[in-house]
Amino acid sequence: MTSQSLLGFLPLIIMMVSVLLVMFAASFKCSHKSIAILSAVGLLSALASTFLTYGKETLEVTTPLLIVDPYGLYMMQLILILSFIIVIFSYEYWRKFNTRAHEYYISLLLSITGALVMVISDHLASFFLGLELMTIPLYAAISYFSTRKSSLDAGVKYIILAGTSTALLLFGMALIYAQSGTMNLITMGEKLNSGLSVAEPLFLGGFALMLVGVGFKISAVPFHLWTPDVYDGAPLPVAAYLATISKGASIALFFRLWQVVAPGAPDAAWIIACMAGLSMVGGNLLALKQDNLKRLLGYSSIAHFGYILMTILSFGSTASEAFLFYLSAYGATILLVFGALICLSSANKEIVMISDLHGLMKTKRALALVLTLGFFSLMGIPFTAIFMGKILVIMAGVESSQWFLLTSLLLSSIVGLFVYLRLVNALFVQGENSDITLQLTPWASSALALLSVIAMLLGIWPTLATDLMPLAHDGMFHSE
Amino acid sequence: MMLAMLIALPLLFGFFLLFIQGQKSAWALCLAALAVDFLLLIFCYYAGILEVRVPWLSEWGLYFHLRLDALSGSLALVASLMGVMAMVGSFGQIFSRPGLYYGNLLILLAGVNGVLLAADLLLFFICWEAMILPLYFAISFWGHGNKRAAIQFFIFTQGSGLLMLVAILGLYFVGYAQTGVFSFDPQLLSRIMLDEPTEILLFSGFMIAFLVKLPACPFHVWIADIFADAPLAPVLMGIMVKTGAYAIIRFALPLFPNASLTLAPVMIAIGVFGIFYGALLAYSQSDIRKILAYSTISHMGMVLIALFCHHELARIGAVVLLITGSITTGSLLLLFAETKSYNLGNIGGIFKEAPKISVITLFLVMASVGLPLFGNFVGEWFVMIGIFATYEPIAVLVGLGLVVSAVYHLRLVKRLLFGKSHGEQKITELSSSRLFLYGGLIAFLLIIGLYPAPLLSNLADNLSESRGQYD
Repeated sequence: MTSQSLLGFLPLIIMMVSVLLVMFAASFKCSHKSIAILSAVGLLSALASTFLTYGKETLEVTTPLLIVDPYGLYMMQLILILSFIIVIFSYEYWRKFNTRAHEYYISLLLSITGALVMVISDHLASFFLGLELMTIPLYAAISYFSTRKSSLDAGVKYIILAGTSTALLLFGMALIYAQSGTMNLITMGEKLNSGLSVAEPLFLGGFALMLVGVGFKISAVPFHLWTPDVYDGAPLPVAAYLATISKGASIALFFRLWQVVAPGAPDAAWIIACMAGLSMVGGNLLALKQDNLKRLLGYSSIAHFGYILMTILSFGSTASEAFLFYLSAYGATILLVFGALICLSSANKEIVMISDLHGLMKTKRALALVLTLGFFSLMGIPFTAIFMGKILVIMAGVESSQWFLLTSLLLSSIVGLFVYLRLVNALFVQGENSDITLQLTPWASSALALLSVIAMLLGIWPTLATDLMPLAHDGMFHSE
Repeated sequence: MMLAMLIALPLLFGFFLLFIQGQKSAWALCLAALAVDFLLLIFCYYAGILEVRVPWLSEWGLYFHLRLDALSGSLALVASLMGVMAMVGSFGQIFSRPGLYYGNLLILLAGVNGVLLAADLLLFFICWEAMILPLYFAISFWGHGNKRAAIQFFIFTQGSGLLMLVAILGLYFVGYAQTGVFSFDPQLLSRIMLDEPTEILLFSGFMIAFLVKLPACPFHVWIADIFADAPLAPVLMGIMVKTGAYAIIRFALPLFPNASLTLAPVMIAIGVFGIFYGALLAYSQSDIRKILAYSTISHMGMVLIALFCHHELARIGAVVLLITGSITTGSLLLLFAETKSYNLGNIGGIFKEAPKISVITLFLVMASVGLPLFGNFVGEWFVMIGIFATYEPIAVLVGLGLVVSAVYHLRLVKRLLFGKSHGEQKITELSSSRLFLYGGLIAFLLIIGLYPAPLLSNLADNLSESRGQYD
């Protein structure tokens, strides 16, 4: 193993080591706090190790399965930062139930490792491996409340649907391999450039099946039916993880895949555009009637990932900038919302329905204002991160003349306004929230504060983030 | 930097106010912030601090660019003035969570100042959007229970705003294609050549947003309910002071000269329809606030026609109409808050009981009708000159419209002041201190009416005939 490979895989190695350490700690009956600290330290070290490769172009790694290029590095850093914050909030959450939750942390770390593999994968096999590594621990995490019917429901639904879509994905990969003779994305790109046509039936069929698999993971519209039930049944930190990292890693990988396939498949672009348009509008429309807050957030995530799909379909440097920025902005914002909800929940009173938000502006003004900021950001109010993200997305769309998608975006944004406005209204409605005063750990409050600052800062100076992102020319990412 | 204070100061005060609980202190702080804003505006204008341009996101061509000239300055001044006056006149009307309400108000003021001062398209859009949410909250939570009004307002303004964003970005990319530079600067963008279909499309994108705000006829539905339901409506409406019309003058006309000529008949038709429609609806209302709302629609119809006959005098008249119209309507709204009931069915013939209110009402209504002596007449006079110089038949129609508008004004006066008195009505007569308030506002109108020259010459520098009015 060359030193470059070592550098490149260091985050993965550190993650696996931390999984093992957490397992040891769990078997030695260490406290919840120590397990959480171990997980957090593991994540931070993995994050630190990604910075060791800064300034270099794509690393030469000894396997054709993985590619550690600036794009992959950025996605790894994003995933690790978001995961770190999720661990902080998880500690806050499980602390209230007085459980050690060690299986949860192990599942989380394994899943994060899978996500890391997905974003640096350059080969259909590592795609599949990463996907499974990310998904299977989630089966356990989602149904963590094994005594609750809704949780078990969610877990079973997720197992069945994820299993089916992964099977279809695998079949699609097999077909693509049969047609092109290679599973490596770079080699596939070369073959497509030099004569192999995408329009071959096997290839197209394979790609369509892969679309099913990917569509399921990012809950794009025909494949979104699992989202509300799973978000509802899963514990809040797991729902947060699903919303950010599970979907984020899948769409990051799809971005890579699309760069390879796109030049030869305009019809596929049309289909994906339909998926994106329907997701945008459908997601917000479905959220409109919801009274259950967690399901509503699930539906709204469908819409947001519709916007991100739109940037994948656009071309030009603005599109890749929009993609990364919106993904980051959405991740930060939705973690803000989920984090505030976690801080507001207690063991006997979880925030589930919208009516649970009543009266919060009076009793817990600071947290309510944080939630308001989160909802405003999701709405797309000026000076918030997602607003800037939306401007970038619209810029990318106008630059590539995506008029159908732009219209859907407009409609979806208008509907989305109502969805979140209802939530903000609910915060102001008088309610009997006779709660014990909640004590937040300093970690959780600082995480909330940091996320709020990011959500507003990115809205005012998006260049703070875009300067850190790799530039992209013609689909190939280069570091600054 | 001082110019940026005009936006930053209300914003900061607003956020600070969100946490204040006491009613008196919240009111006082809000009044102080509005007064400071007013004084700062006057100071900046006369000290010559007129422009600030700071790179914000320069790779995108986005600059934090504010410009204060006669046009934006006069409207901003009226906004602040109305804000201060209305705050003075409406002490104690907000009972629950006053801090949140006044904080909202100041954030709204910051947004309006931003819209009036912005000289960069994306900054303008951001401030335009920023105006919507505080108003929505004000109406939704402190209003009189009509949630539909708030939601209607929200859909209309946000939807049209997003359309405008697409148009702005379209212009941005066409500008890039032609000049190779990414820029949101309207000065730059007004010089690019657009082919006709593109220009008409982009122009419509802008105009729909501005027509909604104006308010002009297909999109005017939101204003009647807002006037009726918004708490402290005089303050809110006084502050919002016709940003739609301002935006047409500042952006739509210079950026798209050809399209504005081509589509002028459409706009003029909308304007004419608005004059008569507003007047008709105002005649049939029994809620005084709705009468005022429809009178706004009617006046704005005239303003729209004035802007699209492409004559310099008409534009100047339009701005004078905007200024005086907002003072008149705002003052009337403020005044009628004293009558404790807005329904003409419940109140009538108050001349004997409340002579002070009646006299002031008479003055303000006569001003609104366009009686010579008042500033409104000056505006209407120049508007008529301009329209007559370009489209004579339309001038005839507008003249008829003036007659019709007098009808509903006179009906209001007749029913309210001289009509049948209803047994139960209780009108608190104005205290003498309030007389100074309204006297001051009326004096302002009289000054503009009798000695408009300074105002007109300042505006003329701004609204000259040349294609790019930024030269």
